[in-house]
Amino acid sequence: MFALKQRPETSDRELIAAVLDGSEAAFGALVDRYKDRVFRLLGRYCRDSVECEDLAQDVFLKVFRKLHTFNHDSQFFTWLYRITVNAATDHLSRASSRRLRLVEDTGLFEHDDRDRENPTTPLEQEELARVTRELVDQLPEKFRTILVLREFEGLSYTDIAEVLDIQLGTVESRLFRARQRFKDALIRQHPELLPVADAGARGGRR
Amino acid sequence: MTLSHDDRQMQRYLDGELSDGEAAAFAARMLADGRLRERVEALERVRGGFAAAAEREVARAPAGFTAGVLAEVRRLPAREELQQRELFDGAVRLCRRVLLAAALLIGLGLAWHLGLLDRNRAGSVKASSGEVEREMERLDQRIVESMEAPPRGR
Repeated sequence: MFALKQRPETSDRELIAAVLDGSEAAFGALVDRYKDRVFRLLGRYCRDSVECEDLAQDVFLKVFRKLHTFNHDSQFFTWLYRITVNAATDHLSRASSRRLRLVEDTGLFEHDDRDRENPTTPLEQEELARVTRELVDQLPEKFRTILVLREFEGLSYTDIAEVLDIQLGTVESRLFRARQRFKDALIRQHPELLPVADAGARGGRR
Repeated sequence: MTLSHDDRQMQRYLDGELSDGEAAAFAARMLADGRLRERVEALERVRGGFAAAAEREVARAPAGFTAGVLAEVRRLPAREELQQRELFDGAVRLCRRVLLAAALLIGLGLAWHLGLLDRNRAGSVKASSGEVEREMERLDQRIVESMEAPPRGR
């Protein structure tokens, strides 16, 4: 029986052991602990809230089915992220093959009102945020994923290597290339958003 | 693609992946090297968009999500059965791959046995060892003649 009363300090390892012991409540606690992170990550790939919820449910069902294969060599969240990234990229490839990829924001993300209360926030920042999302969506999947994991999720190089099952050196070089591609796209498509200091770089490319 | 030392250090510095000592050393280098400082600042500006986007979006799972997942979990077979199914599916996948590999090998073997691979080899010429020898001599002779011929333009 699951006798851990969902203390916040209950470790993932304890919860996993309880789930494998047959505790539904323990699995509920795991889902509660990670559902927002899974949603946030999926939201970087799929802007439709219904699709995103279906995907998130698939992710947690897969976690439940495969939990006995998790061997604690890595952290639980990197294993969960790997399943989530795979689900998201599979979804992208299915959607692009159907040519029905939805990239419009249909309300999945709640926009933080803190900035609206802050009149000093420059309009350019709002525009830069919108353009950043747009340009990240345009990148090839492997560059998009590594930027999402690093820039939005704030994962360390080691965690990214675990999630993507690649070498640390590959993480660094892929991240660098992804940033270059992003920067090139920003210069090409929205030069007005870069400060004057970068005019040299812009001029050199024309 | 191999990263240069500077690119690697710059990226690690911005991502907080350097130790305190390494970060201090890199910051000191930036103070002395204006070009390096400009590159770091340019990359920082580009990254500003990510920070702005991340700050403005807060994704949350909808209410009742966990209950929905647990309801689906209840519909799944027992864990032992799930594990058995997974083992079975794995065995089926392995068998399929082995059969596919065997079919490919048999196909290639048959094609080779029937001479289909030799016949389609583009640009191949059959020649006896004597013919090859004579051709080599002819080529040698041409090389010697070209070396003995006076250079043009004099």
